[in-house]
Amino acid sequence: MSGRGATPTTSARAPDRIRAAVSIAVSLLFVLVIAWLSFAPMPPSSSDAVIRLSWRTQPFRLEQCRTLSAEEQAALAAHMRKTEECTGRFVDYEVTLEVDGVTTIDTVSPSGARRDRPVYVFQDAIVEPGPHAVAVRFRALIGATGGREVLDETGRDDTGQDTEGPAPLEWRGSVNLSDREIALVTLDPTGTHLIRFGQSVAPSAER
Amino acid sequence: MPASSSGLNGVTGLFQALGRRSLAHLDALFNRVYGWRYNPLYHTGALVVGCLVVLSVTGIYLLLFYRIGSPWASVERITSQPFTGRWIRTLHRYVSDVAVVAAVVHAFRMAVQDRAWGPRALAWVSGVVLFGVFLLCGWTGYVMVWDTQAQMLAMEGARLFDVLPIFSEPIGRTFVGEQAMPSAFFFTNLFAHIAIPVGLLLILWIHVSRLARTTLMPPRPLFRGMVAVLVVVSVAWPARLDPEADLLRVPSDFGVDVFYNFWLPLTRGAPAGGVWLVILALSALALSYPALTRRRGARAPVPSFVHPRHCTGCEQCYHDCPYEAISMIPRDDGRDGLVGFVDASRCVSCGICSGSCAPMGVGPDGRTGRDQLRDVKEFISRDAPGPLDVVLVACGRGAARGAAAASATAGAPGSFAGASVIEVSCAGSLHTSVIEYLVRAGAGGVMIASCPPRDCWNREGVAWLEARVYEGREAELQDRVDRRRVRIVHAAEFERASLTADIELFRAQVQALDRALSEGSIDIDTTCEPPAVSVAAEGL
Repeated sequence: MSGRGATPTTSARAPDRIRAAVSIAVSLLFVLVIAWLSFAPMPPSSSDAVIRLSWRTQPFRLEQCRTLSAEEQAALAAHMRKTEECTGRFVDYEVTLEVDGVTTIDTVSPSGARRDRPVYVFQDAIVEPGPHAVAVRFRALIGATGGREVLDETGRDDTGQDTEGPAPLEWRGSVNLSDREIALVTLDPTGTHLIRFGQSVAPSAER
Repeated sequence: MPASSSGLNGVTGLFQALGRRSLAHLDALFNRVYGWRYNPLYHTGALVVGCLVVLSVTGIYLLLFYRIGSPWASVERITSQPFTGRWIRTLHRYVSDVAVVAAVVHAFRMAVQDRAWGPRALAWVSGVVLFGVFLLCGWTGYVMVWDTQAQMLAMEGARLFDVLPIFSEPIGRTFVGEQAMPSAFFFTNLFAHIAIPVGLLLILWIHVSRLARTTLMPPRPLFRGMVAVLVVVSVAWPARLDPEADLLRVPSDFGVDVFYNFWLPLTRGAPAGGVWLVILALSALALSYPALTRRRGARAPVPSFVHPRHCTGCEQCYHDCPYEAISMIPRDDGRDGLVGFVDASRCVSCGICSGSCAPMGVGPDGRTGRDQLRDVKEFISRDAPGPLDVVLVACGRGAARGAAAASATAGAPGSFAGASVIEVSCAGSLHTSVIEYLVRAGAGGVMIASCPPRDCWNREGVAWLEARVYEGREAELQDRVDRRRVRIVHAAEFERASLTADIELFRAQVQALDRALSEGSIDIDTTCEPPAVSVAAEGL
């Protein structure tokens, strides 16, 4: 009988030593189950490889400027007078990825609420392991209507103004990927060329 | 009659009924193995705190050897040391897993026992926050190792956060491998892993802020046993170290800790926005559980009330209340001294104050000491107990749950194992005058069947009852009552066989006592010395 006031008497429950042994055994079993679940095998993922595009660049600013007349300058406060007034925007970019002849095109915009922060390219393409022909192109989308017109060969947008945008960046090559290998295409340290950054061993962390 | 525990929503009510039933079966099973005193299911909250203590000690030790400049290599060095590193690292990991299990069981118990709403809502909400923060701390801990599991955790976490308008650039770019992982990342992660437990202490303080006499640590034998078993398993089955993270290879062939990283296999490949929707939905459901289970209208429990005319200002109800819902305030009726005041926003209507008041001046309406005496008089009028009869006063949540209602007829009270049953909302609400009245009315014996002390739904009901019966705590059972005719037993909901055996044994003892009295062959000493050990003294 459990509780207070009970006269000491023979109980139907197991003797204390047996109970202690059973409780230890049950506890060990419980902790072993926990230990096993602590290393539950992750469901196997596919052996697919990845072509990863990742870089960061300052977006090109497309500006249209005009010279202010003498009257307009005089109308401005002395400390705010300027000879030119410019309006503009940061342009979008087009990322073209071609793998074995299959092309995907994405548009990336400058980040930030005012779209005036760097452009980040960060995307993965899943491919089967093995050799692949890869081409990557990165070019600015320049047009007065703000989206999709491409700078023509003369460098003029559709307003007829000469606009020298940045030269498109391209990378072409063949990759031979093993299971789960990631081929990284990124900008070189000068930021002027696309390169493949492919290593089988990750660089060690900074010290 | 104890109030029903089902909530407003039928679904939550069904969940509570099914959950309580399954938990009660598990409690009974564990009581057979561990005994009620050291049943780990009754100490889940304290076990989490105990685990935090062990984690702090082992974590500080491991910190001495962890290097943010070479995280994986430093963990490898720790793991290569069998006596001074490997088992401690393993212990740290397994204890953290046990903490999650204990926390989940603790939350489940509170949820199905209807202890999450009203005055307990703050504890529930802070508990949900605690659990989330705990999982976050575990996330940082696994990332610290910088193995393949850590790589997957970091990249998946970055993918989920990149969909939110928080960061100025995709944080996933940190893990593309075009440059070495900055030490600042590991420093930030380590700082978070240390700072979060400090925040946990603050949330824990909020979690227990509305409880009187909080028990933060489990009983020493249970705690020592838990640590000993974990150490043994840590030595015998050390934690493995997965390969170092390689940012130019998709991680594979690694183990996932089910307790902290269960979400990893589920979110892989799923849209990040969809994952956030699921997280928000589950969080909202968890946080709104108090509102979903809140009793309304006629089923809302009535808070206790102090009758100023009867209150003598002895402060016993103030001391006994497990939820600090009673305070003593100056009188406004011209009498000297203080009078009790019940804060209805903190009162859960447990009725423990009813049992604490000698003049029977406080308690929920219908369950004060006076109401209990009235009810027992009616009980005796229907079926007066005889000198060989045992009357069972049963907590409505224990083994005799529902026995009174199930077996009662128009002319007779309910019974259990041949004993007439008086059901109370909590054993701690029983006024000792009821026990005396039953004995003086001719009952051979009065057995009070309570829940196991650490499973008392009102925390301290059993402890106060035993103190009132055996240790002279106000409102004490008078010395003139023969203690040999009074028994307090502990029986969880599905320990009916055990309670039946206890009743039969007590009945046999009462009958033997009656024979001895009738034969006049022994010198009766009607007062007994209480046993040396008390539930309250053990901190249970």
